[in-house]
Amino acid sequence: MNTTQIRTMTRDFILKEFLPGERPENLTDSTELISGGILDSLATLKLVTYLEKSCGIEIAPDELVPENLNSIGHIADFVQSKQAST
Amino acid sequence: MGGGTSSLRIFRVPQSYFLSMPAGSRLRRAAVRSIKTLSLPWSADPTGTESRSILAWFAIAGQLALFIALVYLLRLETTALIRVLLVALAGWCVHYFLPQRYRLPFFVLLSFAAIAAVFANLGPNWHHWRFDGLIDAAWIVAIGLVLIGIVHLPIAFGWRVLALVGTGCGLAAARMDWIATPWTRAVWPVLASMFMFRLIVYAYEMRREQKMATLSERLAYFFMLPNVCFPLFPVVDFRTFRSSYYNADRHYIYQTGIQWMFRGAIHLICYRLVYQRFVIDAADVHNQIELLQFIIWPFLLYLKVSGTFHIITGMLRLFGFNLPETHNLYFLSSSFTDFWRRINIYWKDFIMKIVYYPCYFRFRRWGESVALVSATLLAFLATWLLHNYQWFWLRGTWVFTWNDFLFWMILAVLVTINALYEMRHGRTRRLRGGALSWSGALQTAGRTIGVFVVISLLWSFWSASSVPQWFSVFDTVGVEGPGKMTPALVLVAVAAIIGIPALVLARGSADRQYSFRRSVASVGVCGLIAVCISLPVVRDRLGETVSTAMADIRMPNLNSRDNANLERGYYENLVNVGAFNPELWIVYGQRRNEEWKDLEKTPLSEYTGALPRTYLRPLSQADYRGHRVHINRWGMRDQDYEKLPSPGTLRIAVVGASIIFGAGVADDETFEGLLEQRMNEQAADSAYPHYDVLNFGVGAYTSVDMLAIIEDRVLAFKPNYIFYFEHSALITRMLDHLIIAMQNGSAYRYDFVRDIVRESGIDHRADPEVLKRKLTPYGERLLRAIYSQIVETAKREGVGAFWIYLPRVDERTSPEVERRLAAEAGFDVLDLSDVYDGYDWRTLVVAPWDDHPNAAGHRLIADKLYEVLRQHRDLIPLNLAAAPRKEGQ
Repeated sequence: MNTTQIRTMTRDFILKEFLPGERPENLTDSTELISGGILDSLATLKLVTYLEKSCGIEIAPDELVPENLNSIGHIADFVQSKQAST
Repeated sequence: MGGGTSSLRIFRVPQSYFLSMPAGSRLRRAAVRSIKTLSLPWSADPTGTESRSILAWFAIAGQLALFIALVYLLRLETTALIRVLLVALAGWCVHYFLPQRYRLPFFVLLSFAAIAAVFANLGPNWHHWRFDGLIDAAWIVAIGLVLIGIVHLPIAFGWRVLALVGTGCGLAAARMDWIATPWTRAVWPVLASMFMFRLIVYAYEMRREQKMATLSERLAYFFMLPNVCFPLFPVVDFRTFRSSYYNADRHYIYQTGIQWMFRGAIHLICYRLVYQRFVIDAADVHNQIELLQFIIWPFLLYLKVSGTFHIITGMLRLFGFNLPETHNLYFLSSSFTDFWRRINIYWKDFIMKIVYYPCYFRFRRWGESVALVSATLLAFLATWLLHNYQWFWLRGTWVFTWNDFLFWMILAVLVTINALYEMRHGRTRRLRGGALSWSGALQTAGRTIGVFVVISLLWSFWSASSVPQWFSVFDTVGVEGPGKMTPALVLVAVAAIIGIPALVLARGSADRQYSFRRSVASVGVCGLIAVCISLPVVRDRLGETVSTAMADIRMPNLNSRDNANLERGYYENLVNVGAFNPELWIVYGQRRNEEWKDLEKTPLSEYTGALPRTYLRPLSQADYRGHRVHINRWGMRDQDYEKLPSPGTLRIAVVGASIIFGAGVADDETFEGLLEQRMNEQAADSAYPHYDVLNFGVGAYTSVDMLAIIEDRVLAFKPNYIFYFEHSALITRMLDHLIIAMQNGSAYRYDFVRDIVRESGIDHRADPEVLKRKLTPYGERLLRAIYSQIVETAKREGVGAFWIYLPRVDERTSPEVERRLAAEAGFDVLDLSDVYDGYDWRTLVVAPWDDHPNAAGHRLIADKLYEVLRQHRDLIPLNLAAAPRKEGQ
C-alpha cells in the first residue's frame, strides 16, 4: 500500500466516522487532527483499530503521539514506516 | 500563523523607509548604521523563525513590563512571582538577541537564577533578601541532578525504575520528618512540583528515546523557569516540550505567550472576586439563593488553577516553548468527556499516555467496550491516587477522604457512560471555524448548561467538609430568600452566562487570521488600561464600587470565612486543608508546622472537653510560636498575683482569645502587661496606688468559653472590672465550641442552651457540621444570652463589665451585630477599631502566615487602650495621666 492509498483511505475514514457532512476538500493532508480536536482519545482508538485492520500493522500505545497522528500526512508516513519495519 | 510573519513587516517600516532615501544621504547613512548596530548579531540569520525586529522587541518587553506592573499593583499571586517575572523580563530582553544555539543553555541559567532569586527571599516584600536561602536552592538543584542521573544509570531500565522508587521512598521518609534533612521545608513543594510527575514522563520517554535530548533540554525540562514559584504546575510532556521549541514564528510564540499571561491574570482577578465575595460556608446556607451560591462557588475557585497555568505556559512561550493550551473554555464543556478534554489538558494527556492507552491496548482483546470501560475507570482511579501522591509531596499529608474518592469515581462513571455513548453513536466534530446549525447549537448550549450544573454540584460535594454536611444544605431547597432576587432569576442568569457563550461557540466564528500587530495593540492597550485602573491615584477616583472591587482583588489574604476558620483551628482537624483552597494552601505551605501548632496542642494547655474548652496548665512553660511562654500558678499567662487584691488596688480582669493571650509575642510584650506597667507608672497621680491587670486570655476562646471562665475563675479574684475583648466572626466560632459542649453534655449548664435545643428540636448526636447549620439561625440569640449572663453575673458581684472591640491586624469586617448585642446586654462598649491605622499591617503581624499582632502591634494596642480608658473616665474612673507614649510609625 503506497502513501497515496493510505492517505485516501485515512481521509475517507475520518470524513465518514468523525466528520460526517464535512466537505472533503476542507480536510487536507496537513489539517491538524489532534490539536484541532478531531482526534480525541476515542477517535484515536477507532482510527488505530481501523489502520491495524486495513494495513496489517500493529500499533503500540506509546506510538499514539502527535508526531505520528496529527495529520493525514503524518499518519500515512507512520503507517508506511510500520509496514516497512514489519 | 503565516500571517504572523507578514504582519511583522510593519515593524520594519522605519528600516525600509530609511533605505528608500537617496544612497548618499547623511540621514540614510546614520539610520542604516544605527539599525545595523542594533541588528548586527542576527541580520545574517536566514530562517523565518529567526526574524528579528527591534520594534517587536520593544512591543513584547513593554507588554511584559505592563504585566509585571499589573501583578505587582493587584498583588496577584505571591511575591515570588514578582521576582521570577523580573528575572524573566531581564532574561527575555537578552534571550531575544541571542543566536538560536545559545538560547536553551541561557534559559537553563535563567531557570537556576529564578530558583536562587526566590529562595533568597525574606518576608512578604519582594525586595527583601536572605542569602542563606541559597543553600536551599542549591539543594534543589543537587537533588534534582541526582534524580535525573538515576534515570541515566547504565543499568537495565527496570533497575533504574527500582532505584528511582527507592530514592523516592527515602525522600518520602524525609518528607514525613522521619529523617532529618539539611534543607528547610521550603524545598519540598518546589522539588516535588519539579520532579514528582516529570520524572515519570521523563523515564517513560527515555525508554523509547529516538532522538537523544541535549543536556540543556533535560535541565530546562526539569528546572523550567516559572516552576519555582508555582508548586501547582502543569504536567508538561517531555516530548511536546522538545518538539514545540521554536517550531513556529518566534514573534507569534512570544506574543501568544503574552496573551496567555494576561488571560491568566484575568482568571486570577475573577478568582479573587469570587473568593472574597462569593464564598459561603455550609453553615450560612439558609435559603435557595444561598444554596445556589454554595453549589457554584467551589467550581469557580478553579479559576486560580487555570489562571496560574495560563501564566506558566505563557512564560514558557516567551522563551520559545510553543506549548499547547492547558485549559480550553472548560466552563463551556458540552459533555462530560468534553469536560475531561478541556480542563487541565496536560493532566489528561499525561493520564492517557501513562494509564489509559496502555490499559486499553491490554484489555481490548476482551472487546472494545470492556477495554474502554476498564481503561476509563482505571484512568480515574489513577487520577485519584496521583492527586493524593501530589498532595503528599506538596503538603506532607495525605488527602484520603470519602468526598475525594467519591468525586473521582462519580466523575469516572459519568465520563465512562458518556464515552460509551460516543463510541456507539459518534460525536459531532467540526473542523476549525466550522459551525453547527441553530438547532444543533441550541442543543449544545443546553447540554453545556446541564454539564455546568452537574459539575458544580459535584465540585461542591468534593469540597464539602463532610458528606452529611453537603446533603444537609439541601434542606433549604424550599426556603425562599429575602429581597427581590429569586432562584429562577439566578438560574436564568447562570443559564445565560453559560448558555450564550456556548451558543456562540457552537455557531462558530470566522477563523480570523492571527496578526501580531493587532495582538500587540489589543493586549497592550487593555494591559495599559488595567494597570492605570490599578494605580491607587486612579482607582480611588472611580467610585466606591470600583475601589471596593479593586480592594477585594488586591487582597492576597484569606477571606473572612477562612480567616475565622483558621483562627478557630477548624482546618487543623481537616486532612484536606487547602486541597480546594489555594489561599489556605499558601498559608499552610508557609507555616512551620512544629513551631506553629495550636495552643491546645502544647503542654501549656489542658483540654477539658467541657466549658471552657481549655484551661492553661498552672506553672507550665513551653515554646509557643517563637517564644518561651510561662503560666502562673493560677493558670494565667501573667506575673504572679495574690488571689485577692491588696487594699487600694484596682483590679482589672482581661478575658479574650489568642490576641489577649499574646500568641506570637514574649511574656513581657503582651499589651495587657504593658498596660498594667503603664498604669502603675502613673499610679502616684491617680486615685489608686496600684493597678492589677490579670490576663485570663486563652487562645481559641469564644464567648461561651469566656462566660464559663468568668463564672468559674475570674470572679474569684475579685476584680473591679472585667474587660471582655472580641473581634469579628464570633458567632461561628462560638457555635463550634458550643456544639462540642452540647455533644458531651456540658453546655446544658446554661438554661438558654436547653431552651434553644428544646425549641428547635435539634438532635445533638448529628454530624457537627449539620448541627452547626441548624444552630446558625439561633446564633444571635445565643450570643445575646451569653452577653446578658456575663453582665448579670458581673453586676451581681459588683463588677463593671466592658465589651471592647479589638480587631485582628488585617481584619476587614466590623462586628456590628456583636457590638449591638453587647450594648443591649448592658456592657459598656469601647472601640479600638482604629488601633492599627496609619501602619502597614504587614509590619505588625507575627509572621506572614499568622496575623496576630507582634510586639509592635501589642504596644500600639496598649497605647490605644490606655488612651481610650483615659477618655472614658465617665465610665471607668481610673484618673489616668495624659500623653501616652507613641511608637514611631
